Amino acid sequence: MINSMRQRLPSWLLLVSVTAILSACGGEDADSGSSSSGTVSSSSSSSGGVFVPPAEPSEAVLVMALNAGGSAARLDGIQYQADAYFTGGQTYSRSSVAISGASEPTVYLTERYGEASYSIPVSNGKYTVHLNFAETYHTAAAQRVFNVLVEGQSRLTNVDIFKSVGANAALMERIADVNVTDGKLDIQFQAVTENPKVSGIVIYQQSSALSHAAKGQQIFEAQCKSCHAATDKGLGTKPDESGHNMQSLLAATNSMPPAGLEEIFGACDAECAYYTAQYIASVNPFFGRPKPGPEPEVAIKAIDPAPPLMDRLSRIEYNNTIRDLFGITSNPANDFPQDQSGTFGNDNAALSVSNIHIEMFDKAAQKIATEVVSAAANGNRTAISCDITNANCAQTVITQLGRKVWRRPLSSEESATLKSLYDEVQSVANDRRVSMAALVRGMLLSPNFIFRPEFDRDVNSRQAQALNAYELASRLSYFLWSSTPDDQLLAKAADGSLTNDATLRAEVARMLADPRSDSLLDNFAWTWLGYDDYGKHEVDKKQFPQYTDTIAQAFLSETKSFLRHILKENRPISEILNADYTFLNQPLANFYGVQGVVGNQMQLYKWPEGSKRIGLLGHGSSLTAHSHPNKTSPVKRGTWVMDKLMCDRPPEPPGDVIAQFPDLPEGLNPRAESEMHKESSGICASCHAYVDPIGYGMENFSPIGQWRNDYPNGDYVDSSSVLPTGEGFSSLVELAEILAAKHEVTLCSISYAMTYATGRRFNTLYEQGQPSDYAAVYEVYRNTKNSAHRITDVFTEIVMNPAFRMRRGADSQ
Amino acid sequence: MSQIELRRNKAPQLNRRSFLAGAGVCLSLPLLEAMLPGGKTAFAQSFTPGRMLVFFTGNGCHMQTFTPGSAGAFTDGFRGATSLNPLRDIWADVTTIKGLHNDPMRGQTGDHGKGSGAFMTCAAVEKNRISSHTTMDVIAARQIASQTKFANLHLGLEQVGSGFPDNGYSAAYMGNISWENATTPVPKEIDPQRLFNRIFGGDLPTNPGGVDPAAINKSVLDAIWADVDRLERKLGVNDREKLQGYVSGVRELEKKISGSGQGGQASSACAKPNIGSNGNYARNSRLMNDLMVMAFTCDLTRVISYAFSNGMSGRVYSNLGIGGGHHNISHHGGRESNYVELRAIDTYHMEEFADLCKKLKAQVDVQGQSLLDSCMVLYSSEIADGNTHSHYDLPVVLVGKGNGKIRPGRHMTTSSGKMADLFVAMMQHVGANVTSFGNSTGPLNLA
Repeated sequence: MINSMRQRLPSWLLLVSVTAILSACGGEDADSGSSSSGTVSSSSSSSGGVFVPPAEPSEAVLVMALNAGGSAARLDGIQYQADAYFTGGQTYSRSSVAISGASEPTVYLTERYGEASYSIPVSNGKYTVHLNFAETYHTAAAQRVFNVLVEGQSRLTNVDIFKSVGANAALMERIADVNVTDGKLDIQFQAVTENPKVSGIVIYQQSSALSHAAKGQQIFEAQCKSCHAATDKGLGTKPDESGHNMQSLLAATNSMPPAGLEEIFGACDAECAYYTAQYIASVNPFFGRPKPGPEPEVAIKAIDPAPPLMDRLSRIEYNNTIRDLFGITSNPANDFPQDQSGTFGNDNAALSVSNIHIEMFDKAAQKIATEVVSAAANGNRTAISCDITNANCAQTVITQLGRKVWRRPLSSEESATLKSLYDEVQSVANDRRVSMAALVRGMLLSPNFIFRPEFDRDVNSRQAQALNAYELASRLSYFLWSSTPDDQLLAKAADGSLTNDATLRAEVARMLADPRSDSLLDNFAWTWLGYDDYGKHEVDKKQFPQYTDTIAQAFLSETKSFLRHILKENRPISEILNADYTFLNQPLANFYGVQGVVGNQMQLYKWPEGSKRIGLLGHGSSLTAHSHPNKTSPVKRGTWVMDKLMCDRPPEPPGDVIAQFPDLPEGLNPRAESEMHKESSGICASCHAYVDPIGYGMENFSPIGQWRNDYPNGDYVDSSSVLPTGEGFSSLVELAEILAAKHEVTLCSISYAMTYATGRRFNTLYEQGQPSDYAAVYEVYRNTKNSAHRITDVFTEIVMNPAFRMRRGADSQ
Repeated sequence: MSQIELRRNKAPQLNRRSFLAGAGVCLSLPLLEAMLPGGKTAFAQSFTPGRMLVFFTGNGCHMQTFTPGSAGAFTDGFRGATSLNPLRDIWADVTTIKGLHNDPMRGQTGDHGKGSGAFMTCAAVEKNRISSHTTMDVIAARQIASQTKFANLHLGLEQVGSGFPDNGYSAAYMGNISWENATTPVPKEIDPQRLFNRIFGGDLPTNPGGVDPAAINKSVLDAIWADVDRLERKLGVNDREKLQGYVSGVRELEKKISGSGQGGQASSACAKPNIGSNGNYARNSRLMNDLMVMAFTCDLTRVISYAFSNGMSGRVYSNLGIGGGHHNISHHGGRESNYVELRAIDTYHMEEFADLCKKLKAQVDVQGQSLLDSCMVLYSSEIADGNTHSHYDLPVVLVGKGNGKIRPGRHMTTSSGKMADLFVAMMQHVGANVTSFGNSTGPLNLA
């Protein structure tokens, strides 16, 4: 039996867990050996017959409980014996203190502290260890921090009892799956800050019979994970997957693996499907909740306004800010080192500061200060409203300009610091121009200018707190303008009205009408859809001499004009995909084979009925950027759409898969080459089944985005295919309409916009133990549904969303 | 003590005051003053500093013609490694090494991102965010920072990309081989003109009004420190950590503008190079070579990390008449047509590397010896074969005698198995007291 399995499964799969597959899937199918052996696996839930699961195995068995640092005691019905099996450490006890969260305090009142270790005799096997802790000594977080090693492996790190539960409160940590092979269970306490401590140790032997979920996990790891890894494609945990009740979950697991792939991934009968479903149910946060997706009634989880990391002005933001503060348009930040970027150029986690940055910040600050002071000396009162030769002018500048530069009023302490800077320099230089320049330089080099700090009333609070009005003003202006708040915004912050919904909506409308909101086109839309890198794309000019610099420029102008139209005319998000118009000038119209467009100006052009192009996917820029220099690539085009519009970027093929890739026959057209994925290896097909069809729909357009009926080798181009979700299409136009109607596309677009708005990556995918932003994204989706998700409505609802207006404490976990 | 507490060591702030007070007394003249306009001062020194340079190219190599067939001395060519032929004239300075891996970069997907990220950290980097480690060049440079004007330089020829293009691994990993800390790459200079201005150009602008800039600087920085202190008290842990980059930058700035620029041992051959204007990558490559050679000659720095191309680079080598992007070609699928192009690209890389090494060889150090003798110049990549993304037996070419620590002119195989061991040897070579790094178990013996 094993031998026949070995023939049909790749070796890596066998290595993972042969036994799991065998036990789960039964030997009979595996033995049949024919290519149709996966009969039980099947593609519908009706096939596997009825599987009656056995009872879950019984609970773990208590082996031993120790009252660390104390004598025998009882807690929660468990008899703890007196402290034993330890080395090192000392004891400490408290008497008659109430321990919150504990039914009886005794165990928690005694402790063994210091870098102690325990070596507890047990029979070999698998154990779960519970550790009891209470902070009965320290009175603040970070005063006692330690690690716990079990069997030499780090199992708890940076335990801070106070931080977790406060003082005189019970904390129980559970460490599962401890394998003992030497007859002793070893626990070691390691100091990080101050002495580690422990109050109680309870050891359970885990049942050797696996729980149903654990069986399912083994199957999952062996057969499912290569496509459904939690971090990439979701463990059935994407919001739209049908994991919300056992019935739909079973239907899903019964339909796996996809038909035709049983040989690669192993068949999965009703029993296998049952256990796998149990596992997914145990980890899927959607399980048992209302079905999310297009028609959910309530958000699945409260919105969690995770605090972004403190923002540092990007080069673009610095330039715009200096422009708007002082009217200086020389873009001083262009001399700064290149910013690293996350999803967008304003990603706070990517915008760090190096030594060279500071050097450059100071140079820029000196240059700007000199320019501002010279202007003031020549009577220009825009930035500095007073006469700089007047001794009182410094205080005016600190109060008025300081508020604008730091985007909030200065505290009296801060104000005094700047005043003494001015006075000190004045006492040495005796030249008010020099002193004023030093003052302005100090403001511009300050972390209060370079960064955009937000202060929590309570950094440890998990409770969401509203941003103060000035913080909100800054978030708003850097989102909508990539620049500093203007006077009106600061005024609305000063009187507090900005935090009212009506005022906030009015301000968003005003700001979106302002030309500064063009930054959304350049810094949001352009980056989102991947045109930043267009300049890096090369075209094989020998094959395509008609692709001139003029055409390359026109491509970008077309797309930019199109996206500007979507933003400025408040068009629905779906129109990005299914717009029946574009922007053309004469050279581009000629290139596309369109008659009747005159002049070099880009102009709105409505595609006539029956046209072959539609939306952004029909733009020359999109079609060219995601081709090879000399041939089209359905994979690249499909990947782009999945990544940018469906938030489901497929993983790169793993190295061992590539290594198995067979030599390709020469002379295949790109679609035929891609079809090889399906024919050559199931593991390739499993991902390419999602990516390639989208690319096939675009095959009628050449590597430079021109229409073609045939490939260069004479093969007829076939643009028809079927999406894995079942929708068939025969052209780009049909494909685009299918995609435009998908709520995944809308949700994904909103999540990109929220990532940009907050400067932190929005995560709409569920991962175990990770916070998710799905609820916030969904809220915006729902609130814009009646207007077909028009783009300015989306921006407005993002601003109104708690994820934008609030933050929980920076140090809350 | 948490990481942040370790980093916030307050001691340097105290030193800052005393340092300022004593500045100018205990330190030698800034290098530029010693050197220009007609300085060309040769210091009589008995000590020959060690220098290291890492020359990185993305996407691996065609290993069949890159690795010599067997261990032993080079006699006629490189024992079958024809891609190394451009180094033929200086074969006696060349050591090739087989058997060095970068284990922490292994994994199923994202090999370019992880590989570049782990290249000089020899430790895993994180996905979907920027979280790396201090790289070996920076670790070494910090220890010898006081001896030269620039602790280290991070150079390249390609812009850093954006986003998380390699299976969630950041473009920052692939675009930066040198990192100050987990989140901050050493800013990479890719513009030869800007590099020239930075290392050979003038200093900070003087303040207007003919006032002693030191007094003004001090007042400005006092105000900045007050801002920093106030801010730190209000921020959460992560924000405070982010602020540390700013804090260390201000300390550094304080040293610079207090006039305590450092002096090195400029050789008599030190001269402000006369470089032309920037061009495409092929031209800029030669300009960068000239600038790197002169930076060593003038002892402006002893540690350089240089990325000729980024990890997963898609550069189109049009100067070689190749139409496709390098990364695409490197996924060769066993096709001979791809091999031909990969060999051409490898050979071109090696020509540029050889140009650098030959220029170092032609230059003399402060004692009149070939500069190359004091160097360890490493050529490597984030992966070995581009198709399989192998992280085993990385391409490793080491040029220079390392002040006698290397016995060159041969292909050696090692059972070390760890790139980190080579890096420890390189760090020790430049005078850094480093014994553990990444997954290293000790310095690689190169003798």
